[in-house]
Amino acid sequence: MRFQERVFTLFCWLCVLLTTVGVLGFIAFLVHHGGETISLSLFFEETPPLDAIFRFAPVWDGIWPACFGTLSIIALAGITAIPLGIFCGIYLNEFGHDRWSNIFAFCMEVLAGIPSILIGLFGFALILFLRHTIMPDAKTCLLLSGFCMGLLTLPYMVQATQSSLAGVSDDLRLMGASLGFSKGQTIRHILLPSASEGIMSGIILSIGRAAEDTAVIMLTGAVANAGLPRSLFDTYEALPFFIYTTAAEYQTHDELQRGFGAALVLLAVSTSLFLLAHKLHTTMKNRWRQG
Amino acid sequence: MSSIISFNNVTVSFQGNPSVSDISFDVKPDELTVLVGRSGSGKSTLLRAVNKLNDCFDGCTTQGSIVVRIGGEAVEITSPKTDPNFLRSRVGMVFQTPNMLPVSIERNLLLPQKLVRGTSDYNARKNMERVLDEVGLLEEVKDRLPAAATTLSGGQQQRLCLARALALEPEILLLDEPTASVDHKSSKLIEELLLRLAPTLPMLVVSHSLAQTRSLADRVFLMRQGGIAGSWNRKHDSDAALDNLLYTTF
Repeated sequence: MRFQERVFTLFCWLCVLLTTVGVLGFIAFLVHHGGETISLSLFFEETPPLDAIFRFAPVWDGIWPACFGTLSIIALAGITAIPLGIFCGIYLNEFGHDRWSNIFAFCMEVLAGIPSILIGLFGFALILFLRHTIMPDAKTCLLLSGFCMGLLTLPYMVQATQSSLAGVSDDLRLMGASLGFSKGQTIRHILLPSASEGIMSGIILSIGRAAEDTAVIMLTGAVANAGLPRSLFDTYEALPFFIYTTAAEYQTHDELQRGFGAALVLLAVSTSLFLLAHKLHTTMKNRWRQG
Repeated sequence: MSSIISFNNVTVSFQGNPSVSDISFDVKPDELTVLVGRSGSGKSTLLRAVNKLNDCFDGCTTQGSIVVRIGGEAVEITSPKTDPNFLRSRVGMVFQTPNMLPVSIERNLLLPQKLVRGTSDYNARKNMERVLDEVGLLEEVKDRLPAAATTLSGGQQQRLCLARALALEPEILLLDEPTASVDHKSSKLIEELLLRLAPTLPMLVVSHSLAQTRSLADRVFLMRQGGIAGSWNRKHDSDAALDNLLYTTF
């Protein structure tokens, strides 16, 4: 028995070690291949950076438009999926104990299982439908991509919120009620802050998914060399799409290196957003605890 | 003197199975009433019926009549018109185990006042100091009010729960074995506090402790299998009668 326990512990340690080595190896690989290309010219080429960032000056050969596009997609997906997902999760866990909630929960599970290419195809079909009906000028664009990406990440948010709330002790619900809190006050002031760790994990997962997914955006508005989008209804560039097209069509070694550089930037963007979300969560949690 | 709580043929069932059956008795405002009985006899269920907390559990139905006197008016608890949130804000409750909000000590006391009573920050803080002093916790926590409430000992947490209930200035206090999970010293402190509060604050207490029942109770109701199996009244019955009643329980 003791030997079995040791083997089990060793196996767990090995799994952790393997995963850590894998992640560090992956980052080292990216840094090795793309590290050298990280410079202002990778982002802006010959355009002055401040002009590009603040005056929307055109950047012809840098990845700044792709960075901007990716950040916009993440923001639009977040605006769509985070509030919707949190409220749906609240409904499912705190109010929905009927047949309709079971049907809704089933729909969310189905949505979670839909491949992203199908979500992209849905967005594309939606535009075709609009063109043939009420909006003849409709075309694939940033807004459509953001909406579809929101749809893709919605189940993560719903399930993260629902499972986090389900994990909160019933004693806290009873305590809120015994103090005279309304159901809404109990949810807002006791349950959501208590479940915030899990909800934040859902948000981080959603950010990561929105940052990396290529299948959705390539069918709904991402275009190579589109430049900065002039509005939500314009086409745009995105980092994963840039990496994909570079990997598929590169002609020179330098182009490949720039692709690795863009991959490193995408990793940095995702990590920065995770850290920002974590910092925001810590601040909110402290504020909640202290009043 | 008229009753502060009046139970009339009260039956509480969960999924059709009665936990409390056909109970009738009155709680007087100037008496500390204690419910005793073995585990599963329905004491806590009866206590939770007073502030409609049983409604938080699926499949609970309450039949009969429970009338509570709030603000001088008789409120029928079982009436669908009775707002449970208002009722619970006027009928405070302390649970068997300390049930803290996972926030700081001061926020545990301030948040319910602000949300439930709409108390201003200034008044809420004044109330906080008053109730902390009342439960004998002020000196112990005054320098660490922003610390997490979970850093307090079990006994301190239970006194904080009591302070939180008192901060809402309830008209009736329900206590479900308030000293069951605290040490002897804290238990004594809580009992002394309850005796101090008893003349001005009507209380219904569930207790498992013989000694506590003897020292606290003006009236005792013995519960068995969801019904009332016996009672004792300090004004009319002898101490020996109480011992007799309690020995049949414990």
